[in-house]
Amino acid sequence: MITSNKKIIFTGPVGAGKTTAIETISDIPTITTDEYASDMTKSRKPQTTVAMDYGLINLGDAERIHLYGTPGQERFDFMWDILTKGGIGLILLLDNTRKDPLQDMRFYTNSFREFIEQRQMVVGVTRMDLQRRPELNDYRLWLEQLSLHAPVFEVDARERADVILLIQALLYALDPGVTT
Amino acid sequence: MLNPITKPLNVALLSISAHNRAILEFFFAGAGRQLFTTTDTSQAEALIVDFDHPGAEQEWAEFTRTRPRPAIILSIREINAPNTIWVPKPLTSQSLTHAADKIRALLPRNAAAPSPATEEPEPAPPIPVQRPAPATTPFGLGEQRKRTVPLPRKPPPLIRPEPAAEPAPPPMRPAPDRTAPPQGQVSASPTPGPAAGPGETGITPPAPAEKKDTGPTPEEEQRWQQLCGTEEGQISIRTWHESARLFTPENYLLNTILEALQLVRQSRQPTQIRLPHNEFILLMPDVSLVYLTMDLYSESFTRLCEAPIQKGDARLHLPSTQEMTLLAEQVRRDARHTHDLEALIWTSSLITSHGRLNRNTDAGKPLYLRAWPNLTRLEQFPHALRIAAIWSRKPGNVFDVAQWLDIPQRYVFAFHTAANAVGLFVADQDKIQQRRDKPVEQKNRGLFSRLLRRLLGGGRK
Repeated sequence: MITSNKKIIFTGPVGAGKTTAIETISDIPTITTDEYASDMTKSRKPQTTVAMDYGLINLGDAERIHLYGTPGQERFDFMWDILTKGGIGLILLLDNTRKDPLQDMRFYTNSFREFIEQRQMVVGVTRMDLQRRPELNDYRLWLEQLSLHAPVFEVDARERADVILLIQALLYALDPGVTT
Repeated sequence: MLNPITKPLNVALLSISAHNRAILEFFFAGAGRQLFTTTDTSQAEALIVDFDHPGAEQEWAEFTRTRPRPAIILSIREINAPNTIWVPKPLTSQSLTHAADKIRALLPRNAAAPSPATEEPEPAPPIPVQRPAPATTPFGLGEQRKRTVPLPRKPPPLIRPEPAAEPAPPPMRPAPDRTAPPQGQVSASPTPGPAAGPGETGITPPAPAEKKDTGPTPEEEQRWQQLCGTEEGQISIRTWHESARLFTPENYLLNTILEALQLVRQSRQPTQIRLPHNEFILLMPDVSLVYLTMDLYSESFTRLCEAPIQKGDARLHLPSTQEMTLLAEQVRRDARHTHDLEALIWTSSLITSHGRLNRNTDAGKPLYLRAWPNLTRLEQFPHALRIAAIWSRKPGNVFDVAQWLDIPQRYVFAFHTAANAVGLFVADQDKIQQRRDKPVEQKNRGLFSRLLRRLLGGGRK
């Protein structure tokens, strides 16, 4: 019998690695709703998530952590308030090769502002191996300007250790007293 | 509270793109399952129309001319049309719930049973859409781009791979076949499937793999000793400056590295630290990288940092244009020895500290972290994440932090030295006074612990 269901939400722009990050740590084959993009998102990613991604970490003894990835396209933002209900926290993935990562950060932090303030956000910046600038320090400064406090890490969403560290940081940021 | 008597309203989706249809169906399968059920137009009591869709207004007008029906109109702009309820975009679960209430009032013979208050059940997993095979490159265009800089090396992983003898997770994580829905998954359908939460969809999660609590490897233990020492004893805020657990940075390579960093920041020019035996470190400010002729995580670099250096053993040098051409070629050929600038400062600080305090800092002064260190690319050691977490939540001195977390002081001293060298602390007392500590919620501590153990494979750090 399932007695505990919590979720972690992954968000960020198209191609930032949300689907990959969930696939990397999910215990089940992830359920994605990728389909061929028919609009401008095609220029960044041949397929894009139109509704959401879903993965799961099973803790046994009737406990599960659900992993939800939001659609990357901004016009689907109306789903986000539904998604965040019951969420532990938010993992924001940003693609460093995009035209304006600051604008991306501003958009997503604004969209999830209430949730972030109530819970916690962790930022993972992907593709820094392809483009070094902006640097992590720039992201940290932008967060400060937005009056937000969140850890920022360089990540490769294909690397299990990187995705796990994002979750570790999220949990410790919520409660530094957690031990293993 | 749910009213079990109220049936969901049968609605048809008109002029709605496949994308938006998928999202609405997600809502109807989860939080909105007591509100709406989608059906075809012949059986629909009401319509939901996306007026931002090309041709939607015309299609709706033609449809309602022959089969008048109330409609929920989704649109960015305000719509005032008879027998309709306008719901502005972006949509929310609340606005859809209110629209459900209002549309019932417009139904013929007014079946207006009150709509149920929406509970918030776990949303169902998404209804998958049939799709072609995935792109072969994980990030689409990623493979087409060229690296602008050499890829910096990562420190040795903190999370060890599973032992080879243990079965890997393939049964749970087969290579995704994106042409077919995974087992247990609802297939794509133009109409939503039955309302279902994640626990009710036939997805049978595998039992968590049994993880052995093997603890750290001897190599990890040894490395952590190099970075943080082994001292178990406590020193106090009153006596720390008389303690033997202090180091003088001027005696170590760390000092030269920090001088080079300062020079690089001022001049914005590459700067070389020349070391004995033709070894060197090159700091490249334009890309925030460093190149070392030795491995940053090697025994030889550790020895170089942990022992006091002789005067003249580490010299700063600004390379000429000619020298830079040769150096650039060497960096290009030997990219594996390229690291983030921050990684050099972090690791050399930890080795130098060896779990001791910098004699030149005021260890009793409260500080807080303005930012977490980039611990996916910097060397980790036990409790590093927890130290970062608590120090970014509330100001305190090194002794406070060790006490709050109930951990050996050597880890906090090492972290303090490294984070200070990287420039992550705020020491301004005015800012510290303004800092508000968000109350820690401990209600999920047990769950978080179990999740961490699950993710880390039971290994203790």
